[in-house]
Amino acid sequence: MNNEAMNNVCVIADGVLGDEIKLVIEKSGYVIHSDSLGADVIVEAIIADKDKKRSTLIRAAASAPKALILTSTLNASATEVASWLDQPNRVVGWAALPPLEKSKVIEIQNPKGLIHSASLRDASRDPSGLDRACEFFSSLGKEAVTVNDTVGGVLPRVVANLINGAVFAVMEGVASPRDIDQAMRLGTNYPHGPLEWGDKIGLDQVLGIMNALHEAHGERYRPAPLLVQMVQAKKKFYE
Amino acid sequence: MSIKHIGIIGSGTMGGGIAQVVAQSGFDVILYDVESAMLARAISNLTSTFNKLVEKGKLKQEDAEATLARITTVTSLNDLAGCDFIIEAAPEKLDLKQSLFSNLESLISIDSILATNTSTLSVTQIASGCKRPQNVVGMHFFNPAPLLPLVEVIAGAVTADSVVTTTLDLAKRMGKTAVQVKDVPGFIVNRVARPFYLEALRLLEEGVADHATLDKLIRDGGGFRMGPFELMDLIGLDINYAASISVYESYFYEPRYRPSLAQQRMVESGRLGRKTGKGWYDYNKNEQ
Repeated sequence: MNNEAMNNVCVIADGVLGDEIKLVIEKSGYVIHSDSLGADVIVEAIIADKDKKRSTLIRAAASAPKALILTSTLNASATEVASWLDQPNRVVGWAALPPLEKSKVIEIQNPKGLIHSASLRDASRDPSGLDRACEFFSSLGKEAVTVNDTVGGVLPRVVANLINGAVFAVMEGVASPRDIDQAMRLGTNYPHGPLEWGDKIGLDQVLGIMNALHEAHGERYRPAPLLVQMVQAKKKFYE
Repeated sequence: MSIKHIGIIGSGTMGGGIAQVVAQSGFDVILYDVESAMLARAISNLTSTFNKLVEKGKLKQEDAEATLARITTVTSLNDLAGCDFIIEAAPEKLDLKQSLFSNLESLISIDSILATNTSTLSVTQIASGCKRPQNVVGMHFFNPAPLLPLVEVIAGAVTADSVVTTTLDLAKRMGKTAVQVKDVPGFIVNRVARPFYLEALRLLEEGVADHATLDKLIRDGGGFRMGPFELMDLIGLDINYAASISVYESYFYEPRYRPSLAQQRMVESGRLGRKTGKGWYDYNKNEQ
């Protein structure tokens, strides 16, 4: 179905998720470029800073007019990202979390308002963006699962809230970070304690997710003030 | 202080499980319940547990016998007078726990410790009816107590530091991993775990994906052993929902803990999970 080459991949990112997806892409035999010029696929994971995400994506999209744009939905929905760009029908959202090597699935999201629109039907003379995204992720050994477009995706939203809640608990002196992590690993069988997981993902990235959820959904998603301070001070829970 | 005799109040699933842990760690156990029938059932459950462990070669016959011999059952609180440490696993009713604690306090020696296994009540409030609230502490085991390694040790607002330290040490002597927690609703685990369920429910309510897809993405994407919906089915939706309500109310309606309407409807319709054959998944159809 798809004759379109996806040889040249450009990854633009600002954190661990970006580093990890880059590794997975390289291991799958793709050539990675840091420059988007002439890219077939642009994989974006700029999560800490939404303004930078926007300006970088606008520039990258212009320099690679035919590229499939895979934007991380951790801090902006695919619909919002598509609204920034001239050809929204080549935008597909994706979401995952570190550690990526153990994860078998990747979420993908189609921008809203496009699935039945004339523009996508036109685009589907080429394979649709969603099909190409599925194909790309399965070539990385990950199953792509489509969900409705929403900021934060599924897994990042759940885990960022676990981490944010654990940071509130630290801030309120409920227990030490070590005891909180220990309790969650042993008491609930979580794969990582929430605070060590936050360190692994990057606290700036977790804050990026929470800021975007807060903006979209309100008070329930307010970032813990300690999380904000940890990012400002460039600190981790475990140094 | 040296602890030799440990009293346990309540011989239900939790009390019986704690009795097993304590006796297997070499302490003398005095197991109390109001009904001797309950005690007889607890002992018979423990006997069959030990028999199975012996059959599997995980426990020596003589050790099983010695462990059981260390457990004495009593139906009078007076028989707990000689205990150095008492773990209460009675039903989660505040007035019941308060009256048990003030009765026990008048029987035991002045430096004996009273621990509550409450998971939803405030340790400080349970201690408030005591003359020596500094000797009251929380010791929260997880069900099944013999298998799950975690114990949350909760310092009430006026619990003495030495009492907390003794309890932490005791949990370690029982082979448990002990964590120290302030007396806040849900302690660590039941509080910090809330978003795992509540965000998944919110995603369902927002129509982002169906429950099976959400489970798959969270379980296989995040490396969790179970997805939130299959875990709710295992725990029981009524239990999980009640825990969410309790945490939400206890934190004065903090929006982060707001419970889910979708889950409330499931509970109202009697779809409580595995125990009723139907929850988010249908267990009668052998659906996983």
